[in-house]
Amino acid sequence: MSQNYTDTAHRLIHQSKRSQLTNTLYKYDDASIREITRECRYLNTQINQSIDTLSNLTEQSLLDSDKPSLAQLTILTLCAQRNKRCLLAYHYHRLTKLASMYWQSGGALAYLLNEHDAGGIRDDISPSELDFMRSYSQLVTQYKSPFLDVVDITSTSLEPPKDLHVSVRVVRDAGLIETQGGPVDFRIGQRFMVRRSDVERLLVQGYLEQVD
Amino acid sequence: MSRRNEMLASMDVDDEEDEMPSIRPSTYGITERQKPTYDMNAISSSSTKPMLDIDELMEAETPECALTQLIRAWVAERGAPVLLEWQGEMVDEVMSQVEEQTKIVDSLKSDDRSTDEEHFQLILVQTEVERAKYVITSYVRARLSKIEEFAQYITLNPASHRNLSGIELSHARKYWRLVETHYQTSILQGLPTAMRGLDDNHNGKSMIAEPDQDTAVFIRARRNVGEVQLPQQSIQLEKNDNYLVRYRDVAYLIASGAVEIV
Repeated sequence: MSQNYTDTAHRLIHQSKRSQLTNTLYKYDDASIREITRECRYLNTQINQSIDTLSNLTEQSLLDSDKPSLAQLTILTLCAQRNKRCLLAYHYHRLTKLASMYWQSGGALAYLLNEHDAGGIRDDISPSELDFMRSYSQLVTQYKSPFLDVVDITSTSLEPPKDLHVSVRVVRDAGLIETQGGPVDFRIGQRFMVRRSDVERLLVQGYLEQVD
Repeated sequence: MSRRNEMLASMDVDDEEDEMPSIRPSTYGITERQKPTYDMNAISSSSTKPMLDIDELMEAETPECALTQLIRAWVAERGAPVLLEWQGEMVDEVMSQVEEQTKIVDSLKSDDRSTDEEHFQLILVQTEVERAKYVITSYVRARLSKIEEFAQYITLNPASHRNLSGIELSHARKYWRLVETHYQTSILQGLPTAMRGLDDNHNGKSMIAEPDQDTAVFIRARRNVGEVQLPQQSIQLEKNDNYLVRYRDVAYLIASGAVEIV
């Protein structure tokens, strides 16, 4: 490897930054993660070795003779810590992104993962992240259950409602939906004037589009 | 007939302020109440009374209905960097009102004897109900996002528990456990044992994210407070004065209800 320590970690952070700026989720970078952890383990053995050599010396001779080793030890430790920090930051950023995507989809996990027309995010996340998403979805369901009689906190959009009814255009076939005014069959291309609360979820998930 | 009128009358009391005529679109009530937020000259301490009609209306609201209180709590929650006290009673109250209203609306809607005017009133009530639901949702989600952001801090600091409801606390704990598990399986177990901590303290920087109490917040005095001592200077805080201050310095005033975050 011709590169310096923590270069890979730095690349990872760049990726997070790019993901943040473009508001897209990139594929989980398994290769880099493994490379960084390997680097950390290597650094750790180096650190342990220099500690072993240094601890044989007395304090005085340490200061007199072996300043380079001390400096080396500091650098190695800092690199290791930096690696760890970058790894955590990368994962934290992804988790936040995933959670926000979950909320944006109106809490529809299956839809988010693979039933999307343009392909879900299933292939872009790591197995552990998938576990996280599943448990998180359970957690939120648990949390919202006491409110469910009155409001479903995941399916409502964060726009304050202005009107009782909205005019919508069907973007994707949603099938037969039970509304307060009876069942409505949402077929692509059609337009409806419906109660907002009936179709809130469909709006959030992108089946319908609001027409002004 | 008289029964229906009674029902409609009770809706007006519940959903709208008493001094308003019953067919007032109460939706405007919400926007008006928030308007000072946009209009005020917030950084300066000018206390020229903005929108005085509204202020008088606000004073007239005694006692405040649960929805107004919840809206106040919601605005504060969105402005404050820390978690404020969970207003469970208000939320419950508004939720039961929403349920009640929905029932009444349903029964009146299916009643053929309702007049056109009553139908119009029903639409207003329904809109108000939708808005109330929105406030509940937004309030709960604003809290939830803070809880998740500071889950680790909450889990480790019993002092921060008193502002949380039981279900919120358990959510924070479970959420942090999830995140921790994820970190363990994806990163930490690949690292040397000495590097597996999640609460390291490097160069005085803790890994545990804490709410930043030094964030600036816009406040408005709800009554005359008098002199308030800030670190740099002291300010005279009269009713309806607006200031931009550090949250930490006025936290006690906010807790006492003397000032509100806008």
